[in-house]
Amino acid sequence: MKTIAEFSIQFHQYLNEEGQIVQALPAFANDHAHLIRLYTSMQRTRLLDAKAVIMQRTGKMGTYPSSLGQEAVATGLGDAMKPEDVFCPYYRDQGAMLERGVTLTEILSYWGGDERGADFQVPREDFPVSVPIATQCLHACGVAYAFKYRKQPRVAVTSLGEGGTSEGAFYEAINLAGMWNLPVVFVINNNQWAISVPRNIQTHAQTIAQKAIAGGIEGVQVDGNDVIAVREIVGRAVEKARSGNGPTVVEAVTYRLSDHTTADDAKRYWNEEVVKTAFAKEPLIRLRRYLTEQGAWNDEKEKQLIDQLSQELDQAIKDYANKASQPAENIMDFTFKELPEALLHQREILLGENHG
Amino acid sequence: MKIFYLPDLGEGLHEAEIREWLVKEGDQVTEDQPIVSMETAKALLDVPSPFTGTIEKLHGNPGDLVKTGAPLVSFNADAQSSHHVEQHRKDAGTVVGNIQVGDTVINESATGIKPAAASGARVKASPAVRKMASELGVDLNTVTPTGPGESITAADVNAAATSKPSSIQPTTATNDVAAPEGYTALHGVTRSMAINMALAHQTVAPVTLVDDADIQHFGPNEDISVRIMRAVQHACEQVPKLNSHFHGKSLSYKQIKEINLAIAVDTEAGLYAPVIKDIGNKTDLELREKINEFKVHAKKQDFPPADLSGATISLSNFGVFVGRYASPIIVPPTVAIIGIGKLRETVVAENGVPAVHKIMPVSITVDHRLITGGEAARFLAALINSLQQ
Repeated sequence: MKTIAEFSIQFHQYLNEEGQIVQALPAFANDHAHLIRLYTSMQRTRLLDAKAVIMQRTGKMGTYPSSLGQEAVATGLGDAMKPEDVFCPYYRDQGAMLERGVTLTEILSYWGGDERGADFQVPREDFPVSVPIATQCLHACGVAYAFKYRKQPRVAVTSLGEGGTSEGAFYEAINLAGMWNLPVVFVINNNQWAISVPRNIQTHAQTIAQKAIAGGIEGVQVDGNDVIAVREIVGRAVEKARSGNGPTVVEAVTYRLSDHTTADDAKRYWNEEVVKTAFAKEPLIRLRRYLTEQGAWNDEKEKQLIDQLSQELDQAIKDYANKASQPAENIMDFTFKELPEALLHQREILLGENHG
Repeated sequence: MKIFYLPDLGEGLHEAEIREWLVKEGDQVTEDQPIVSMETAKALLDVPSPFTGTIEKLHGNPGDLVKTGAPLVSFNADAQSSHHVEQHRKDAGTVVGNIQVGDTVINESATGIKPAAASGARVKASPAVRKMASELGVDLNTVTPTGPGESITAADVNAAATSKPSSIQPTTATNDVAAPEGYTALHGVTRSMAINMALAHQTVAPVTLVDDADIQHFGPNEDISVRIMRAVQHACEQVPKLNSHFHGKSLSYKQIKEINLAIAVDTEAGLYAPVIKDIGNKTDLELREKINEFKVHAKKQDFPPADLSGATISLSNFGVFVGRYASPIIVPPTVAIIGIGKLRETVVAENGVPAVHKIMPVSITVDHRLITGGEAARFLAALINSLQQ
């Protein structure tokens, strides 16, 4: 007997939970202004999530998935992409979408039930949020194949939860990505929970990253609460893909500190002690601590930032609330090129009711 | 006065229960401050204030069920919201943005609700509710709407269908009737019991058969609960029809392979029936662990929802308190429930001479719409045989 193949999974961390540097920083992270930008983005996402949950509880918002505690994953991956790349988000990617140029008002509109919120004015080619689990992995492969076919130096990035990696669509996607050497990056937000199913009964695999091996592609794990690590490792994967060296699966290990969505009550199934420990490791505290020790941040700046972001958010909520509603017939007008007779009849009833 | 109407706190929820007011009338509150703790079918959560202002009225008391779209809290007229959007009765809670609403006035008459205008009147009902009405032969124009924005709900259609003279008057409660003065409204698990039992009583045709199992041979360390479960399993294997779901409307049934045993558990808050799934594929140890787990949940009344559904047959161990035989109620769609009475020592004839043996009284109640007396008897015989081995 002889060993014919061996694999290993690397774990990357730059900033530990105490806010200390554990290995030499990548070049971008020596620029405090860049780190403050990342911090600002994470804080913006956190304020948006908190407000959106409150709005749902008062009837001004539909079901909403908070990303509390996982802001570094979305912000880091969003920052690692170039504007010409294409992002295929899942439903907990508001942080990455904001990085890409999607507006707060668009995000609020989408979750408030207005599909126009998915018609992003800035990343015109980015995909709408995928609520079905893991389907976006195959969309991203399609996008990546198009880039390859057109010989464009662009990359498709998609993300999903660790639960999503149990879906057939994920395995199909990594198989295709490997087989066709596609310029695509899969970022897994391993937040330990698939609604109420914990990580330890989701899969017997030691890491989520190692699932990449089955597709013949690279899998790597990062501390998902370390925005520097997420930005650096996803950035490397994106540039590797851009240069034709193939796809990567990046597993970002974090913890969901909120309910799955506003329609969930995590208190019913999570362990308070574990959650308390996880709260101490969340991504904003450690970056704030590091920047403060570097003399680049203080309470005054923190307060100014929160004020500025709150004003920005208030304005976005006003714009969302005052957005004119769509005519009722829009429900029917964009699915068929020509409406079948039965639907034409229903459309008449709808219009008749509206005018009568 | 500005009124905050209860929004849909989950996804398509029709009501929520007030658990605790965190403010009182006359209090000054700020926007986003938690004002009330509400319990829905899925979650216990704090609802924040949509306004900064003074609370004028709290609509309801802890324990009250509030319908989605019904008034929850009234604020003073000067209450402010940073969003510059005010809710109107016409777009109650669940809807974001404006929804166009017909202006037809609906007048109530002695016989029910009739549209004021013969033509152009519109009723508001979702496609699913319209389909249901057409299946039940209910004219939506005659239904009293109780949903958000005067829309017709499934419950409204059901109420209209069952109040037609040709059909039987239901004894089940409807959500629309408030408790009379001096009465305490049921809620949570006690409310579920009332609804399920009334439904069972209306539809099931129960028949009960009782006998004793001689368990003299049980050792002192015998896990009696596990033995009973194994006996139920054995009896289900012998007469599998008792482990079925019966669909009364279509007079059809589905025999089920897995035995998911519901166990009646008495708690301070009321009756629960948690389910042990697929007992045939569980070891004795796993069964015991599950029973112990249920005991812990029973103390705190915090059974996970997954443990409270999927029953295929039920067991009531009323004998841990008192009583020999009983005819416990079958909850549709299951068709059988086993009752175990208080164990006792009694004199039995053994080889023609009196002897004192340990006896376990056993009852089986079946739904005679599906199960014959013969099947029930064979099931009980198999159960007793298993216990006596």
